[in-house]
Amino acid sequence: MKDESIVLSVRDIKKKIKNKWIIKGISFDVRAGEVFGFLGPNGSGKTTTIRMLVDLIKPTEGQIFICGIPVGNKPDEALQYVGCIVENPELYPYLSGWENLEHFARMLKNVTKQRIHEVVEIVGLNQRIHDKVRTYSLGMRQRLGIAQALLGKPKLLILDEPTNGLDPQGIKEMRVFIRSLAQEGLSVFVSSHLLSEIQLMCDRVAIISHGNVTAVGHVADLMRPAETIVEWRLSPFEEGMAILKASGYVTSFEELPIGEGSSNRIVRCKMPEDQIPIKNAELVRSKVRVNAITVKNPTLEELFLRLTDGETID
Amino acid sequence: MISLYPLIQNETIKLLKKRRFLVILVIVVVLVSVFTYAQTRIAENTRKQLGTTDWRITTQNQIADNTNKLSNIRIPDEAKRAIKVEITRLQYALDKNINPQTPSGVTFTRDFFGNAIGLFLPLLVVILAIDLVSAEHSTGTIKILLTRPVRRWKVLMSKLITLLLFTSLIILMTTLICYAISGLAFGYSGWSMPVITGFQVTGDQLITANAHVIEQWRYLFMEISLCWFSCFVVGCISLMVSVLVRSTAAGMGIMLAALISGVILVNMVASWDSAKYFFMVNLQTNTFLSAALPSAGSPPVPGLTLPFSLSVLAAWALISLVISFSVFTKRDILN
Amino acid sequence: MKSSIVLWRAAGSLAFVATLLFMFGLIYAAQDIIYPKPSDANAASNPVPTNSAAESLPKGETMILALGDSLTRGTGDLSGDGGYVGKVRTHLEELWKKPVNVVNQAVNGWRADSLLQFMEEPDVQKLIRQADIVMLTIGANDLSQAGSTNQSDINYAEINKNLPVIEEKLNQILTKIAALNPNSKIVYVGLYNPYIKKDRNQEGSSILQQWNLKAAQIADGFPNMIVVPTFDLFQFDIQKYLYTDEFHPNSLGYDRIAARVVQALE
Repeated sequence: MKDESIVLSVRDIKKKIKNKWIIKGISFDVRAGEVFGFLGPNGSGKTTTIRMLVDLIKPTEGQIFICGIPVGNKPDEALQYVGCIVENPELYPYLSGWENLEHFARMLKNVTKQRIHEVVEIVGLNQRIHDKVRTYSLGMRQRLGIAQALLGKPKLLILDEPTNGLDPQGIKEMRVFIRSLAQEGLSVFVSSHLLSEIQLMCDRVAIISHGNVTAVGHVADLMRPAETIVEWRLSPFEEGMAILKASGYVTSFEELPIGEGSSNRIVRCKMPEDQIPIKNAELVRSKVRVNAITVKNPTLEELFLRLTDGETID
Repeated sequence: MISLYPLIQNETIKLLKKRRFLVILVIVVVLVSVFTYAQTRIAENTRKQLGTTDWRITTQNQIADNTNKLSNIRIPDEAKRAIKVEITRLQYALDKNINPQTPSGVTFTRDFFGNAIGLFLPLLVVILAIDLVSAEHSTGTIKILLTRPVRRWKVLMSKLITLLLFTSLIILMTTLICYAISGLAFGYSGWSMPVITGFQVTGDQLITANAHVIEQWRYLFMEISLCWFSCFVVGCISLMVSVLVRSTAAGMGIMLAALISGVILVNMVASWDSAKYFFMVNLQTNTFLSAALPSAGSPPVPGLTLPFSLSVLAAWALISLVISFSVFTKRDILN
Repeated sequence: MKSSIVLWRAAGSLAFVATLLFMFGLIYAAQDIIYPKPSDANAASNPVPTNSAAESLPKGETMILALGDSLTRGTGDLSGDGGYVGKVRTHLEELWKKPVNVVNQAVNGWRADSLLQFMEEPDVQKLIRQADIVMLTIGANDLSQAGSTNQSDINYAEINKNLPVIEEKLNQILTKIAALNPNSKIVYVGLYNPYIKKDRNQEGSSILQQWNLKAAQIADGFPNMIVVPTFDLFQFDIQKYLYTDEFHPNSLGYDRIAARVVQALE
């Protein structure tokens, strides 16, 4: 706990709801200035864990420390370092954006009017801040929620599925925004069920499944063992497959019939990415027509599978 | 440490901006207008029937009417006792030459509170209190409210104090609205009119030994304060319901059922003694001021005294608050 | 943003002051009720104003004061007219084209002594002084109670024995009313025999005739007093005019009484 660089420390927390262990023992640390991803499918215990971090739910066992302060014993001290959005950014619809910020500013120490102006500026809501929240779009509510979370200059920002419901442009903006916050020294804890998002935003990630953390580490480290999955659409199919099979790099094959009587069958194989042009040239030379090459990122399920597999093999 | 003051400020602003309070004021204005109109019609009718505005004649007639009701065998004993008490009261007023019913803004306000305390005023408080906590759940804002660096008991305490403040506001505004509107019809005088108080009911006897005359404004002030206490107790119970029941509609239903059952139960306490421990039977504490009937035709509840009623109400409020605070501070917020 | 602060300051301080006020009021009220001051003598000596009669009676309007028992109260009249008193009032208003007001002080089951006692009250005496017309029925309960036995038949001998005493009370009542207000018209509505069908030997009828005669004799002593006979109204076909209790008139019965009273007053 003495380590200054650790902002959030979760020590073996467990939660039992209605005689069922929802969380079976989770531990991880979040360091200062990093974007920490919390990855898991829906129903894996992500939201329950986040709620325990911010004292909405009391853990059955284990402890949580924010900047070294135990959340369970001194929630009012610990939570002053935290800004959070749990699930949807829900604010008072009958108040204006400004009134909402004033409301939550009064629940903190030393938040000046100047600071409220600052956070409004940061999230770019100047135009509509005095309109009722009822009239806001989801994206604007999301931004107001973040403004609210930033009011008290927190050291840790907890965002639950921050890109949910946003359009592609909004998702991209959110990503850039989160990175920029981290650059200013803020730790950001982001949960998501989408690997691609975590990959793009986070420095480190914890993967949760069925109430257990299956892996914690740098995103790149976790991804590295993976070979790229490449799908080839070839004709004539048998010849092409033979060529790919003959290559030493190709590790697995899969035939995916794409409709009856079609000659455009797909073969899927795992191979290093730099081998794609070489194999392609070889196929073309052998008069096999390459209709399409698709590079597939591993899906979350595949990553889980591999992680659990990896554990058993190693 | 965040003090309670800014939290109370927050709750007050939310309540005002939610427009509920405005709706309540509109309800009061409409209702008081209707009653004022009804009252003018009644006065007109009495005047037409008796051809006189002499209150002594009117009172004499009321006594005769009540005496005739008494001779009807089909009226149950409890009601007869109530009628006897009413006759004694009217007779006492005649003897002391104090008009029990001078139409004026002040008298109207007095009567309005006397009738509204059983159901109407508590209902207004319920409207305000019932979603103090449950609305935070249904909008999801509870998730922000409770993740702020403020202890949970403080959050609930600020809501409780705000409820207390608004109970006072409702009572104050109702008084002002009553006086302003009825004054248009009956005049704004009557503050210093003498009123008799201090009757005590023992069995079917009306004890006048301690009856004394006070100015009407004192009487009104005492009556309003008693109403205020009853309303705040109902508010505390509503707050507990709001903590325990997520749905505003369900909470409203529960409180409505409780209050209405109280109106019915008052009539049954004579036969079911332990019913006097229900809070809703004890709401009409202002009856101890005048020993008037809680409502027309229903008997004064036997065995109730002001200390007893106030204690029962206070106990209900206290238990409600203990439950509210222990549940609110410990509960997991799961949705 | 400014508005919410202003709103908070106004509502908050008002509510705070009100709360303190009501807290104080609650303690004040509790003290006043739990430890009441003994009744103060000043209240009792509030003089009854005597001039209110003049100011409360509008000029050009007639006031009927109704006294007595259930017949005057209108028991059995399901039409809602209010018995013969109410019906008389309606007729007179049509006839005289001016408002007629009724103060009905009759009480079911009253006997002559109840009415005598009632007339001792200053308020009642004031009413009598104010009245333009006093209408009353009394005596029916005295007579029927004097003759009631455990059996269903009526003890006429007992009634006869008590008759002089009851007659004397009637005399007192009528005399007193006349004394209190010599100017008002006093209408005593006579008695009829509700048991005429069972009264084979005419014993009851003869008692009632004697009673009505006595009433007429008393009335003769005062210029403004009349007795309106009802005996003959209920002699034939009595069932048609009686209420289901077979004692009080029904609406039709009261109609007939009212018609007589109106004729007498015209």
